Amino acid sequence: MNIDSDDNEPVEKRIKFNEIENDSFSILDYESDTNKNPECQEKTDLTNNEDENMPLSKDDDDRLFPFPPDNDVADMLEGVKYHGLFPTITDRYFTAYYKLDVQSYTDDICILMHSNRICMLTLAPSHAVLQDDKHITKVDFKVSNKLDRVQNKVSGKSKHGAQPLQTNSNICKITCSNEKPYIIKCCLIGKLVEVNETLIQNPKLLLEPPHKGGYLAIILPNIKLLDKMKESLLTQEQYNLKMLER
Amino acid sequence: MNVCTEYEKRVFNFFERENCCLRCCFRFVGCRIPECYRDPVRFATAAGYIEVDNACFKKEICCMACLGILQNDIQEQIVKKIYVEVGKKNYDCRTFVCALTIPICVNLRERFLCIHCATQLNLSEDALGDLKIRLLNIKDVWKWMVTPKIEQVIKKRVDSATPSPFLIEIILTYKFNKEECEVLLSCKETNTTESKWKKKCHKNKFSRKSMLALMAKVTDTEFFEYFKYVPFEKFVTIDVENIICSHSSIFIGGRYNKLSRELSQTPWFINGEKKMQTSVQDILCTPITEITKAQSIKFLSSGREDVDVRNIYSGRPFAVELINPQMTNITEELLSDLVEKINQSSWQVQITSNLKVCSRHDLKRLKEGENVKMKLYRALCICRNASRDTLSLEKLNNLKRVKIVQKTPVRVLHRRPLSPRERLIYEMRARWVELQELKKLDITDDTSTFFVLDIKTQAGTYVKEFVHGDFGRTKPSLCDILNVETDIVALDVTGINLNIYIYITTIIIIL
Repeated sequence: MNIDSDDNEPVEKRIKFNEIENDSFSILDYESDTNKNPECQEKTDLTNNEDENMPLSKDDDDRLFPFPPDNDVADMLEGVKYHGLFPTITDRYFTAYYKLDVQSYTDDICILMHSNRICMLTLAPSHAVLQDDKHITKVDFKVSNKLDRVQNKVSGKSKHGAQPLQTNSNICKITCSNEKPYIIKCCLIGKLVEVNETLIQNPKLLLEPPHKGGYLAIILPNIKLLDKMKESLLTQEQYNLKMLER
Repeated sequence: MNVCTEYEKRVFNFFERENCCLRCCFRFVGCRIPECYRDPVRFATAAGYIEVDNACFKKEICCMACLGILQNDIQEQIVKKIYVEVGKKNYDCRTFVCALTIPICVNLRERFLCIHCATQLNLSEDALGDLKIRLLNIKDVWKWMVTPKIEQVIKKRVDSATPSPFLIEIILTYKFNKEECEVLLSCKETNTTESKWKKKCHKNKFSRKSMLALMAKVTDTEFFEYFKYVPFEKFVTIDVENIICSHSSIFIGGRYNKLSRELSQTPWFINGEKKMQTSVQDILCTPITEITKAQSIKFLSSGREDVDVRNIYSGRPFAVELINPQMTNITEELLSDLVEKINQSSWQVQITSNLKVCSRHDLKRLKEGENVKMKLYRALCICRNASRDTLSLEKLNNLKRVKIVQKTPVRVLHRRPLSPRERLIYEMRARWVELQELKKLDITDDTSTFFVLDIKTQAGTYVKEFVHGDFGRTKPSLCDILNVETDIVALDVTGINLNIYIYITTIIIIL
């Protein structure tokens, strides 16, 4: 799949029905069209109760809507980019940036930047928490008495009301068995979109790669400071080299 | 025509003395005979309003009430301008309607004259009310007189009943309109209770609406007080500011297939630069615009595909709005030529139905298709670290009406609000992909295995995210259901459950 292809997809739009006048138009003509197909008849028992979205017209009843023939799918691969291995969604859509030793040795953070510039905060594989088969017991987003990252509420496409983040803002506390908690800094300036609340119930998920849910938070970075931020971080290549040095 | 009554004659003569044109005098006495207005001198004489000798053929002076709108000079000027304006563009519509915009000071003057008349002739309050009610609308009178002349010069028929989609707007302005309105406004300003209302309307206090509202608030006596000493301009006639011709939009609709995985739906600009050579919109709209000579176009469709998603089988319903088209006689022949032209212009987009001119109802259904109707997709999926022997797809075939919750996918989060949405997966059909079907892929990793999934979903479901789980943000995803890491290699839209537009007998199936 095309990596930069995130900009076009079926989206929910508010319909302005009232803009369009109603006129009396016969819809009966279409009825016969659907009924011609004998396959349709068999599907009638699939849905028993109607949706909250009642169709405005009967002629395209969703129950009479069969799958296409189950034929050869070789043509689906036309134009598909695939080179031996199929990369994960993280690799397809994101560029990784790293910050090492944020507060202490091996406090390594990874910032994954989507092609639409949304950032995902994760621990770098070299972070102390992910070393030596540590047992993660708790991920706590309540970073102070007053500030709980879980309480973050955003509205609208520009994410109004989001908790503002500075490079040294705390995102969460990670506790491993019999150790003092690790405090994770967010390392970029922007707005908090959401934290990964699944980690509260299932802290071990953090050991998984991001595409399986192993990430801490989603952040909308300040676009104006983006280039500056990238400069201050390590690229994947630079990170790999640093790891060899360690 | 009957001879006028004494009362009518008094009123008529009063307005005549006030420098109103004969047509306006007829309006004030409430004459509803169109012929009167076509030849006012003859009728005024015949009815005894004016003496034959007095039927002065002196040069018309500017009418106090209509500012010349009903007088011959301005009428001729307007007709001439319409002739020029309509001639400039080659509108093929055979009918037309007129819309006349008149400055509000005409209303002010009419009201003033009525009250003035009542005062001068010592009329009762009832008689004044009667006078105001009888007064004929200037636009109606104008249309009686001028439309036949327009019909003649532009060789189109007026049709106000349907009404005709071809509109000729005549915008009249008056140089001193603002000054005359200000008389009323400045008087009202002294009234402190109105200050709040005033402030609110400050931006557009000369608008027709706010002036009419203000006029309704003022009593006749107040109104007369304000205007009593106002020297109304007597010599300047109305200006014909603009004549605007326009034809209402025509919509042409059909269904299309998108066969490329590198084609966006609408032109895609990044920093003002076209990211892709062309788009579905460009391919469909360009030939249509060329032929119908529309001023501009708007592309409407029942939803959209991602750049890398194809749309096959019956196709997606779409419509093209032709804004202000000159060519409006759209024949079946022209439409089938268009289909051919578009289908030959590229392989990426093909029209799979007939094109047809669509009604408002069709458009409503088109948008309904986007948000309400069930969708069919076919996804080529990959399972990582799984084998056919240990994994069963049968489970998917047996699931019905799976409720999923999708948080706004990360890939659209930058331009959509964050919210969880509940969607239904009605039905699925899954099977392993045969090796010969995959011959186009150079597969080096043998831990992955592929399956093809047909899926029937509620409108608005993010199918890609349902397959890969979007970092665990769509719950449950295929990963959760199969308990294996799944991802999506390719996606096709295979059906949108909206039966609009007629299919061409052979549906194009690309192999």
